[in-house]
Amino acid sequence: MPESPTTGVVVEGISKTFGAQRVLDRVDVTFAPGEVHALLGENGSGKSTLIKILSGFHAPDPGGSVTVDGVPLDRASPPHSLALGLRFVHQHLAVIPEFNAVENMALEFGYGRPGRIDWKAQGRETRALLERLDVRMDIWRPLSECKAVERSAVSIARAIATHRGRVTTVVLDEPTSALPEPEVQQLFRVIRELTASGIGVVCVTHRLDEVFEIADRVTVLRDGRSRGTVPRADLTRDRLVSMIIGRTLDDDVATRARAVPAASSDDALMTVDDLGAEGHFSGLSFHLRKGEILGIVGLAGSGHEHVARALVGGAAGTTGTVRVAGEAIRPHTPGRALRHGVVLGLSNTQDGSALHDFTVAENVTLSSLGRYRRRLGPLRSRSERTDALGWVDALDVRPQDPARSYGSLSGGNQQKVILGKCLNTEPSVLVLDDPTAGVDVGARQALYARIAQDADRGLGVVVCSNDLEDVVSTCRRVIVIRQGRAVAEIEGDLDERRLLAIAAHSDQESIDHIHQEAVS
Amino acid sequence: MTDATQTLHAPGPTGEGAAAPPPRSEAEPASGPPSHLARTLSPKNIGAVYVWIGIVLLFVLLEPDAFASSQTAKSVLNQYAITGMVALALVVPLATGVYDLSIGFVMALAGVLAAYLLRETSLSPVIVGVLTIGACVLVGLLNALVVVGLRVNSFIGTLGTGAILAAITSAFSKDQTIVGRVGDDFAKLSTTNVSGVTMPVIYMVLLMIAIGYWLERTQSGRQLYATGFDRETARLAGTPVDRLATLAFVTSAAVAGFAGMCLAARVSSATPDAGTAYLIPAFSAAFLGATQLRGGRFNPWGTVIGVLLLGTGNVGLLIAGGPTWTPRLFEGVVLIAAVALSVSSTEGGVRRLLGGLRRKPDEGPVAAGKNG
Repeated sequence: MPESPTTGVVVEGISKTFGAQRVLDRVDVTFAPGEVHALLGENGSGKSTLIKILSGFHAPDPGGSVTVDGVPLDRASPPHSLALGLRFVHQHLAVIPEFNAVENMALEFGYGRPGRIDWKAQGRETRALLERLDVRMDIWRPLSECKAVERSAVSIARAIATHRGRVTTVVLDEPTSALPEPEVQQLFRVIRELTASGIGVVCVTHRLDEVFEIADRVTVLRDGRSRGTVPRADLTRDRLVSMIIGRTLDDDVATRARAVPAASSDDALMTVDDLGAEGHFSGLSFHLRKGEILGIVGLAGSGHEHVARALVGGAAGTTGTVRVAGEAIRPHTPGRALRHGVVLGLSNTQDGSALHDFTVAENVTLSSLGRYRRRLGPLRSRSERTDALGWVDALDVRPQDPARSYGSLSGGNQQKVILGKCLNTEPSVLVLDDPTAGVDVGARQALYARIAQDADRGLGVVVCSNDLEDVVSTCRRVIVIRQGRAVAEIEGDLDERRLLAIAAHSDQESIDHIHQEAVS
Repeated sequence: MTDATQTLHAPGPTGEGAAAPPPRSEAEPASGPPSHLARTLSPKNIGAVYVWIGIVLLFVLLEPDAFASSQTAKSVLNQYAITGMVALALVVPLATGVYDLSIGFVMALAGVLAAYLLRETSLSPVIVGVLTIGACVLVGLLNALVVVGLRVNSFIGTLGTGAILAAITSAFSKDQTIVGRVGDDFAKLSTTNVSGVTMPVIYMVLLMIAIGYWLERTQSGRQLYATGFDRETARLAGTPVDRLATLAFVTSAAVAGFAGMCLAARVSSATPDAGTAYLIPAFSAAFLGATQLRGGRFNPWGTVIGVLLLGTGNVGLLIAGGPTWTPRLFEGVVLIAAVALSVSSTEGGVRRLLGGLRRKPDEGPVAAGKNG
C-alpha cells in the first residue's frame, strides 16, 4: 500500500465518458481528513458525475483510481462506497417531514431487533448523534415543524451514524441552498464539529462567499477537468470566478455578436408589473421590447427558476400583472397567456416540459391544436404531420421521425422539440426556462441561433437561466435575481464575472454598490 | 410549397433553410415505418387477440358441439354488451388520468331511477330516459366537484360519491327490486334484436366508434390524453385540464347511466345492487385494452377486444360446466394480468395512473453529465 491509512479520499486520473461525451477528464483531487473541501463549478462541469463515481453510482473509465485511506474503491457499488466510509447528504436531504428526528434516524439504521421498537433507545441514540454535532433540538417533534437547519442536521447526523462502519468523508450537496441566511451559520457550526472529529467534508456549492467562510481548500471543475486545488488563503474572489468561468473579460466581449434591436423603449411588447410567485420571488417588473432577448439570471435557489412559469401564470401563487401589447392577461393562466401570444418552454429536464408518452408530432402541436381543428371537430392530421415534420427538419431533431415517442429522444433533441412546440404557436413572446440544461454544446448553439433568428423577426424572448455563459452570449439586457429579488438590471456590456459577482454576493452594502454601478 | 421544401432539406437551424418561416405547406411527409403490418400484428400490439383466439380454440376442442356455434357468439355479445358499455364509459376518465369507481353505482341508480319514474309517473319512456341521463350528468358533475374542485384523489373521491349514490339508490328503491312499466315499452331499449343480436351490442359498437373518434381524432380528445399522461405539462401547454376532467366524469356517468338503463330494460326490473358486478370486468377490459393497439393508451378498440376476451372465456367456462363463480375468478385474473402487463411494458398512461410512475427521460449521457 503506497498510502498511509489516513490519506483521505484520493482521486487520481479519473475520467468518465458517456457515449461520445467526456464529462470528466483525468481529474486528480484529494479530499483530506478533517478538512472542509469546497467543490465548485458551473452546471455541467462534472461535479455531480464525480460525486456519483464516489458514491458508487457510476463506474469511472478504466485507467484512474479512487482510494479511501489507501483502500481502492474499485467497483461501482453503493454498498462498497459506504463500507469505505463515504457518506452523502443529498440537497433534498431525504428526510420524511412528517416524521420526527428519531423516526427519520431509525429509517436509515433500522429499528434494532425485530418486534417492538424500543423508542427510548432510539431516542438516546438520536440525541447522542446530534450532540456530536452540537445540535440541541426537540427530537420528538415532526421535522416539518423544525427549523430548516435542524432538518439538515438530522440528515447529516444520520449520515455519520456508525452503524455501517467508520465514517471517513461526508459529501454535502448544496447544503445551504434550502437554508435561510441566519441558519447558514448554524450549519457551518455543524460542519466544523464534523471536521473537528476528523471527518473530511466535501461541500458542493455555488455560493462563493460561503467558500471563503467555511472551506479550507477549494477545487474547481470546468468542462470535466480539474482547474486546480487552492488553499483558501491563496484565493481571491476574482481568481475564483475566473477559475470557474475559465475565460478573460476580452473573450467575453468577443462572444457577443448580436446586434442591438432597433427598438426604442416605448414600444414595449410585454410589460410585467410586480410579478411574484409565493415563497420564491416577488416584485419583479420589467418591459420587454419587440425583438429583444432578455436574460433573467440567478444562482440555484435564488428564485429565478420560478420566473418563467410565473410569467405565464403557471407557478403556484402567482401574483402581479403581465400585459401584452397593453392588454393584461386575465385570468393569469397558461391557457390565457397562450392566447395573448406568450408561450412557455421549459428545460427538458424539468417536470412539465413535455409529454414523454406522446410522439414528437403530438408534442409539437400540443399548444396549437386549435389551428388544426376542422369545423366539425376532427383534427387535420395531415397538416399536423406536415408541420411537425417541418419543425423536426428545421430544428434538426434526430432521428427525423415525428411519429417517434418523445421519451426516446436524447436531451438535446427533446429540447428542440420543446422549442418547436413553442414556435408552432406563432408566439409574440417566448419565455424559456433553462433551455440548455442537459443540452450539448452543438445543439445549444443551434437552439440559440434559432431563437436569435426569430428575435430578429420581432419575437420577444425571455431566457431564465443560471448558465451565465449562455445568457451573456445571447442577451443584451439581463436582470439578476438574488434571494427572490431583482438586484440589478444590466444593459449593454455584460460579462459573466460581474453577473456572477452580483448573483453570488450576499453582503447587502456591496449589492447596493454593485446595483448603483450597474444602473449607472 | 416553396418554404417547406427548402426547410425539409435544411441542415439545421443554423443553415439557411431554417430562416424559413414556420413550415405550413402540404409537403409530403416521409413514408411510414417499413414493417407496419408486422408491427400491427405483433403480440405486443394485439396480444389479447391471440389469447382470445387461443381461448376460442380451446373451447372448440373441449366442447365442439356446444361451443362452436353462432348461438355462442351471439350470447357472448348479448351478455357482454352492457359490460362493454361500462368499460367504454371508463375509458374516458382513465385516459384523462382519473379513476371513476362510481360507475357501478351510477348504473344501479340509473336503472332504479328509470324504473321508479315509470312506476310512479305516467311519463313516456323517452322522457324517463332523458331525465335519467340528466340525473347521471349531475352525478358526473358531483364527481368533478369532488375530484377537480375539492382536489380529492379520484380513487377515494369517486369511491365516496359511489357510496352516496348507493344510499340514494337504496332510498328510491327501499331496497326492493322495482318492476312495473319497466317491463313494457321501455324494455325495447334492450330487447329489440336484429337476427338475435340485441340493441346493447349495437350501442356498444356505436359508443366504441364515437369514443374512438373523440379521443383520437379531435382536439379535446388529444388534450384528454395529454392531461392523463401528465397533467402539469398539459396545463402549462395551455390545456384546460380541469374542464377536461369534468367532461370526462360527465361522460363516464352519462354512459354508465345509459348502460344501467339498458340493464334494467333487459331484465325488465331494477335492483339497487345491479351495477356493482360490472365494475371489475369493466376495469379488467379497460386496463387490458390499454395494453392493446395503442401502446399504453386507454382506447375503446382495445377495450372491446378485452370485453370479448372476458365474455368468450366466461361463456366458454360455463358451457364447459364450470361452476358459477368461475367468471369472477377469470375477471380478477385478467385484471391483474392486464395491469402487470402494462406496468412492465415500456409505455403507458396506465403506469402514470398506477402511482405516477411516469417514465423518466433516459439517463442518457448528456442528462447525466450536465446536472452539475
